[in-house]
Amino acid sequence: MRIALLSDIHSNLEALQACLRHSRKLGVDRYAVLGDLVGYGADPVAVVDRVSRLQQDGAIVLMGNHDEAIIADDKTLNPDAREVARWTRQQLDSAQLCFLAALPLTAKIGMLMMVHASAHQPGKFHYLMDSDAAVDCLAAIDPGIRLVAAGHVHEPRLWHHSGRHSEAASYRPISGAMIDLLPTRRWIATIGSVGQPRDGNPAASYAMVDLAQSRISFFRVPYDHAAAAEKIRRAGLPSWNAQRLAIGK
Amino acid sequence: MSSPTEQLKTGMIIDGFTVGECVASGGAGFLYDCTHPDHTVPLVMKVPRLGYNQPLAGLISFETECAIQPRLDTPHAPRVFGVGKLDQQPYLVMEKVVGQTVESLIARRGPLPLEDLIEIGAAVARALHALHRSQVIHLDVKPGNLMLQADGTVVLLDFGFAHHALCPDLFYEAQLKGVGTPAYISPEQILGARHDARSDQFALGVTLFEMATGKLPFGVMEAASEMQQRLWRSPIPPRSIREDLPAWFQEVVLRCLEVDPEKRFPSCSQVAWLFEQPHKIDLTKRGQKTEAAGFWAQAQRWWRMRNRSLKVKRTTESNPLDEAPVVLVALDPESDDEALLESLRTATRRAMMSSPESRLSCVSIIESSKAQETSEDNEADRQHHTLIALQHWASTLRLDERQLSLHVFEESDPAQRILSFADHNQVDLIILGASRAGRTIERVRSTMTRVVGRARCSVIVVRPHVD
Repeated sequence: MRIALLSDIHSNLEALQACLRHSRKLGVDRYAVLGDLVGYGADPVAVVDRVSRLQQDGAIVLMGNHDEAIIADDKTLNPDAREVARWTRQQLDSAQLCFLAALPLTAKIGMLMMVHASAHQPGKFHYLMDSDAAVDCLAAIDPGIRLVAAGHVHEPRLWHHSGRHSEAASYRPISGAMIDLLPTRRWIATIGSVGQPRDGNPAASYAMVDLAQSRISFFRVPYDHAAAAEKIRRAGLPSWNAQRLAIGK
Repeated sequence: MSSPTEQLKTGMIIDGFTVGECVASGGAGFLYDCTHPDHTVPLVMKVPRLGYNQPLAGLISFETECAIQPRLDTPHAPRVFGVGKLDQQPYLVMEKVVGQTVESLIARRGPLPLEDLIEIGAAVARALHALHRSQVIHLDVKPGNLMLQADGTVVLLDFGFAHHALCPDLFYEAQLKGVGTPAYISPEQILGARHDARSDQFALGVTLFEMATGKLPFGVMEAASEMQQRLWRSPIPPRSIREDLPAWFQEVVLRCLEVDPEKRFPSCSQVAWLFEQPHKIDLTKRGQKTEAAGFWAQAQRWWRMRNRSLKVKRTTESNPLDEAPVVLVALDPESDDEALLESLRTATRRAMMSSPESRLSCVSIIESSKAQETSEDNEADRQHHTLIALQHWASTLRLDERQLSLHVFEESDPAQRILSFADHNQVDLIILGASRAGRTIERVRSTMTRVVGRARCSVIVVRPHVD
């Protein structure tokens, strides 16, 4: 089974559509959206509707910290993000808010566990930025799980841990390369962000995992970021949210 | 890991493979002959020693082999026929490569005669370049891992330390430094770099040194402090051990052994090319030296290297091979189509601009049946005239003579000749002229179409502006 993993869409409809189109072309059996549907961008209504349609068709959809912030004001978010969260709340109707409020924090399919941030205290949204965080995440998973897929850090990376070494190591994936998930290791894929990549590459980021073959591929998909940025400016949202899309920051 | 691997018994059947005699065993594991009803080629099964009492590097090495080797599709690496589940019964079944290793050749014959150094040296360099072109760096090149086959092809064995540009590098990411065989590894590997294809060239230099002299340029290094010396110590010139070695050979070996990868050849294909045309070698002080650098020179190098880190490029990612490409231009220099010759010249000049180390082969093919009909000259004369014309055409490119080679062939099948020349010389780019409306001869079109269709590298088809 081939599962397309998408995360951190952040109300960027152009980027979401580009990734869906790309994955359909490759052939995909199921979708999983790993949270942060909203925040930063100008298209929360269209994105929530599109993702809820995916869910009706069998997609897994998880909650991210920005989705949670729509439901309850999150004082830990930066001021820009809080401003957008308030704006987003006004845009969504009650059905859309209920949809976000009902999202779960984690899900599993076979050897794959999915979470927005880290399997270690999923509701606390720890950032998987270093080996310590990766080791904490792997310490929290069930023995049958070999791959954790997460978003939140907006940078595609593949962590792996052999159990023989105290540190987890990581690899920066190359778009399109197929990577064997060797069974001697446990793996964490931070799949990057669909709607707001921050690794200097403006192309949308997502991943595709093949559970039968035990393989993962990461992809970078160019999309019309100028159009997405223009919508952010027109909505009167913080201008940095628009500028950063062109430079991937 | 469920259980450490124990030695297998003869006659056992694992995933359809019948285990035969144990043909080798060592620190890393066991090697068995094996058979499978679906495969007629001779097979071997490699079974690692794994388990918690074994060193971590052994596990990573086997994981690396299992990840990289099945991806290789080249005559220079053993084909893989089966990979056991790493968490159950780990094994790797591959084709049993028949031949003799360079190690056993040296052991049997001692220092090799120059003809063998040239032939084997070029074959090894070509094999490494082919590997590098498929985005793999071997990182454990040494005589024991180089298998010479009867037809002269070299097959690289043991990909346990290899790097693939598209795979996670388990050694690099585990921050293990100096992975490889101490006597052969490059200075940058000692510092932990694993992304530079020129590291293999350094090990090739050590291997060539050993093939020529029977000795190792840095001795058998074991202690880490001894290995550090490689960052500044220059090797003794091979000619101080063996006087009859030509200066050009020493030039090649010592350039491969440069501490700074930037000072080595841009690619192993350059090494192969020079072995075939030693007169093109630019002789420097490296080739002339007859004794090791003196104390003060060594001390200066040590001082310079002391606080300097080596610049290491991630060459497989940026594809280094494009930086100094091998270009083939096919043309008829005696054609009256001046506009086409000029277009070919412009395209060739552009392709050669990327690096002063780019190389150009100008190839002209006289179609043999046609030549015999129309020309009164004999074959040698015809070829000579064409060569003069080719030389004239190439002279306007103003290339260094060392970058350039000219070839005239008389052939019945021009396309096939261009393609086989390109394959043998590991050409990166073929430039040829398009057939033109009005002057089209069916033969020209079919040569162009066949080269474009069958080439294993990029092809530029040049056409002058048609008004």
